[in-house]
Amino acid sequence: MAIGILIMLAFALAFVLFVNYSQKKILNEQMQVQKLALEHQAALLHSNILTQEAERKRIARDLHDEIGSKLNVIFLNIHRLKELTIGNDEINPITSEIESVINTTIDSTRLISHELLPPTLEEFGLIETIRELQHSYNKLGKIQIEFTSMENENSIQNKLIELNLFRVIQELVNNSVKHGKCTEIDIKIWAETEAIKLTYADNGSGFDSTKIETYKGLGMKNIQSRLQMIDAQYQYQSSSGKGMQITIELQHSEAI
Amino acid sequence: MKIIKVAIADDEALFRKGMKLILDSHSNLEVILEAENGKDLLDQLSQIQDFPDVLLLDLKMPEMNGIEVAKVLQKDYPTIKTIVLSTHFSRAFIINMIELSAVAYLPKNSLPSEVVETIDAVFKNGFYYNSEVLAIIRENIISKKKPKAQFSLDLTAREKEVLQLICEQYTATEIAERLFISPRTVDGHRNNLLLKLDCKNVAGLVVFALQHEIVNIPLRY
Repeated sequence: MAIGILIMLAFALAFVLFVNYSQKKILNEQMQVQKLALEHQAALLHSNILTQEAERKRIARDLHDEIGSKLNVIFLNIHRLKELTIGNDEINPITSEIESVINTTIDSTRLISHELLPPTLEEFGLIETIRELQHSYNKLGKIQIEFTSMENENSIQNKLIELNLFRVIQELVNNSVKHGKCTEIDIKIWAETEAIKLTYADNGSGFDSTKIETYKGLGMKNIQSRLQMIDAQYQYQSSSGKGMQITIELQHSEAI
Repeated sequence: MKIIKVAIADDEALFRKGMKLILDSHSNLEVILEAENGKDLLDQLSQIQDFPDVLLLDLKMPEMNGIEVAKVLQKDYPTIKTIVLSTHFSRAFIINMIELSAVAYLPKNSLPSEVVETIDAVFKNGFYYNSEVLAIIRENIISKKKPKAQFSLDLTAREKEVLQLICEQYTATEIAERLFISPRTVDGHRNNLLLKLDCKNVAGLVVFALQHEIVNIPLRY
């Protein structure tokens, strides 16, 4: 009888242990699957960003090379036509009109192409490009951007890091202006050989940083993916009415 | 009248053709060289004796772009005055090209009459920076906050006056008239300035003077 009970108990124990074990195993597998799914999602996002950037670059280049340069040729020739028809009251107003339309088109083609990919970024790197962004906003006078940079020469060699940090700053400035209604922005960047640190602060209306979801819609998703992609660590702080600050840090060795 | 010899470096053949026709229609201008990129320009320059006075230089060109070729020109052909004519009309490009001795910088869609005026001014004064470009040079000085020159600049009062007027884009003759001295004396002062400030050309003088805040240029917007 006692032996019978012992055997029963042993079975029961074995059963409990087995169930426990297999549950753990299932849980583990589920976690593994979830992790893979997340990684897959991140990889998809990153490749989306890369494709998008490649497309932007191609369109910017084509706009400049194929359309912009031909518009310049048309502009020159309209001018020659104008010279040849001086005094002709019928032709002159037409050539003048074409000239002015082409001139505006040249300007907008350049603007669109620069917005897609600033040529300064390719040629002179991140710091100069932020400086141009700073000057273009300050010139308009609605907001004032302060920009301080400390850099070793050629400290940021990685084009992908530069491009993504620039897009992040563009997005942040857009947010500050559109949603934050700020008047001042302060950007600081330290670019050392081993690490880059960037701080960004505005004096706008801010948001409740405990409710991250409210901020997600504001291009924050894009910012997060881009920072993840270059393995950058970031932190942000904000509360309603008190502006926002974000600190971004990345080590060069971790970079792709 | 002295004929100004012009070279054009631009990858768009039709642009070169149109520009050549316009420039050649002016009796004092003659386009003597057309190049489709920086390498082509250097090849052609190496084969001629009679160098152009002025070069209209595009920046974005295949094989060797305008920035690369300007580095070579600065070293090997310092007498050729480079006018940049580019779609890239932004701070970094302008500052960079001025540091590479460009004596003028125009947007690609400048009126041909502006291009002609700039060529004339560059030929006469050695440089021509319009108010937009001057504003950028000045902004650059402010944003860089370079420490003021520590070395003694040992310039005489007259030399400073001449430097100031050079920066205001007066010609040697005009400076002579304003200071009641002969044009040859003005040339002498200018040469002394070039020597003392270790500059290759007048454009270098202007940039140096602005960077070290020796002169004050009134900006017209």
